[in-house]
Amino acid sequence: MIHRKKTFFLTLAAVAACFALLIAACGGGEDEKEPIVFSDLNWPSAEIQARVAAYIVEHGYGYPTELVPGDTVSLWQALVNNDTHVTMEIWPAQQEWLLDVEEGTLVEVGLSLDTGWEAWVIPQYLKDANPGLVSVADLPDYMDLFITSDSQGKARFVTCIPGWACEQVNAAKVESYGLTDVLDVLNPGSSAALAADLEAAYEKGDPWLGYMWHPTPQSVNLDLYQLEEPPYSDECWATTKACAYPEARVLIMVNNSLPGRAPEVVTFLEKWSFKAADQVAAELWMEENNEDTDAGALWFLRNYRDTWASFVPAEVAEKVDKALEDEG
Amino acid sequence: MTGNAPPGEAAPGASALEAIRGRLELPGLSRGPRWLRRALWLRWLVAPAILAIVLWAGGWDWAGEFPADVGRDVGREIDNVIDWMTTELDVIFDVIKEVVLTVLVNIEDFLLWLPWPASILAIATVAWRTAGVWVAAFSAGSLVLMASFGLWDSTMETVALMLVTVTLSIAIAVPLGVWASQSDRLDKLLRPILDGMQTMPSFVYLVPAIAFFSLGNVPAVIATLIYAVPPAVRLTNLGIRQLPEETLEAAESFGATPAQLLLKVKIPLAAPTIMAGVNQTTLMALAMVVIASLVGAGGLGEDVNRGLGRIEPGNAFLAGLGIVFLAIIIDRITQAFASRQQSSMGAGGGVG
Repeated sequence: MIHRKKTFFLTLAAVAACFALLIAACGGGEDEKEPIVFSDLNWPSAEIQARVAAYIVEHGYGYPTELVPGDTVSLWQALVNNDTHVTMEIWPAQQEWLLDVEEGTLVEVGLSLDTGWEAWVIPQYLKDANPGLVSVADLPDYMDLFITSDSQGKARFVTCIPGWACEQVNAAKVESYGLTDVLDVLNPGSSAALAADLEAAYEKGDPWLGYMWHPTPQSVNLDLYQLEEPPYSDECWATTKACAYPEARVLIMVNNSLPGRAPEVVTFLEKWSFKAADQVAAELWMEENNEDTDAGALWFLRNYRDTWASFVPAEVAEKVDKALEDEG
Repeated sequence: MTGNAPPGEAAPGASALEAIRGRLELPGLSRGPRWLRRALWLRWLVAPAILAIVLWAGGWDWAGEFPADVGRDVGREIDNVIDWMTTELDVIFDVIKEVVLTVLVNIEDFLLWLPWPASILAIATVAWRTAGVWVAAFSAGSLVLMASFGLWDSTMETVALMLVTVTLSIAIAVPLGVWASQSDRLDKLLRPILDGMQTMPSFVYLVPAIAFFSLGNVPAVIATLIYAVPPAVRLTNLGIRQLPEETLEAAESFGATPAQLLLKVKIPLAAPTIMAGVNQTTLMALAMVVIASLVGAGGLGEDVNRGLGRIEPGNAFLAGLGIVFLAIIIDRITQAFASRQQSSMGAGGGVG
């Protein structure tokens, strides 16, 4: 018995020694900079932007970086709490409450994606089959297309995600366009569900009517027709909302702890401008090659050097180039 | 079946272990120096060490990434299967969808058509008859509270969703559990499937469910079914398997056929355990209400979802409280029902 106990302790000591060695091996590099944590929002354009920016910050500016995954709400709270330091996509049009934050907690550092749209859409094949369905005003005539067994004899209209500003905007539009008796407004519950419903309808060639925005994998990969609406005006937006959505503004925000300790990174993010067309190209490449956003970000860095190099000083760009070469 | 081993029986087992140990000991070393014998366990490291050295010398970076990554390819194949099912099995899914929707829409319309005092009175009466005056008072009080929060319609929508899913769950689970109790092979087959149903993250099957049934209450019902069916299957199975051997032998000796034995002896005797399963299934279904709202199901889950989306935890809390109230009401009523059955069984009136 004693013999066995000793063997046990010997083993334990050996394991402990191994761990000690491991820890000692990893603990080097005391003078490293504090890590910069990116909010890893769970949709492709935000994922690619966060990965591209994190790569440049890590290899060009020498800050260790981390990506913390989550959704809009939890990562918003994380940014406010200084658990994450940079969020690459804030959509004020969809989350009004995002801007309702204590003065000075967060710093707005400029625009992220250059263009985006929000609209009511139908699949292009449906538009081709029904050339007369051009604008929201035509919906009463084409109501029958969208009736389902649970839509109470009205057209099934998939609105925006509960809690997003567009949910209330769409509700206001339905009323001001006089479509209350035409549309049965269906709440999709989540952006994943909205996307899945549109994709499935598209797959089957079924009619579909609902809210969509750009860029998303659906707005990029599916051929969608945006129903026409009266042009946007501040006046209409402030009252009935019976007009098109304004061009969407997408912002980059950082926690106010960042400008103090990494001003060069903030300067870089201020210069940041991501073209929606480039995002579309990256997504199409990912789709074609069945790759994820990690690979998509590297592809962007390799193929759009002129774009990102214009956001950073030359020596930073060279360091990133070198890291990309080492990537193999 | 062997019973629990009494403590005294542990010793022979241990000595048998020693005997096996002795046989495994290399004979040549049994008389070697003590330090060598003590370090004998190191021999288990020899083979892995040699393998590691050979691979390392061969230039393989064994600490690096796994040499193959087929994850995305396999994932895409699964996507293709789901796409194929979406288009090709459309007809089948449509039939299921229409049936579930028709039932659901009618129940919902009925519940919303009922004046609220009538609904509260009905629920309180059921609670009073089964579980007593306190549960009745709690039911009435909590429902009035929900109505005063402006959540009456949401509550009734959730109740309708629960009625449909729980009825369907029980209709599937209890027969399946009875069958599994009669067949060891089915029992073995079901076990990993039930494990998967309970642990697979719901979002994994929610998205295909939307592709098959499109947004709204139907994918929510399906997802809830997947999560809520297992406890009732397990407990029905367990309840029947645990019945005392003597009772069954007694029934057999009176000439009961297998069918009579199952229907008139086993199932009634196992009723309390089956009811516990039904109770668990109901609570599991309620726990899925918020997940269901993520695919467009209405009701209290949607209110929770919206509250969180707008960072209004207060509103989300009130709707969440409604789910808790419903759970307590249903739990107390079904439990009281189960214990009444148990006591009537004890009085000897249940079998026959």
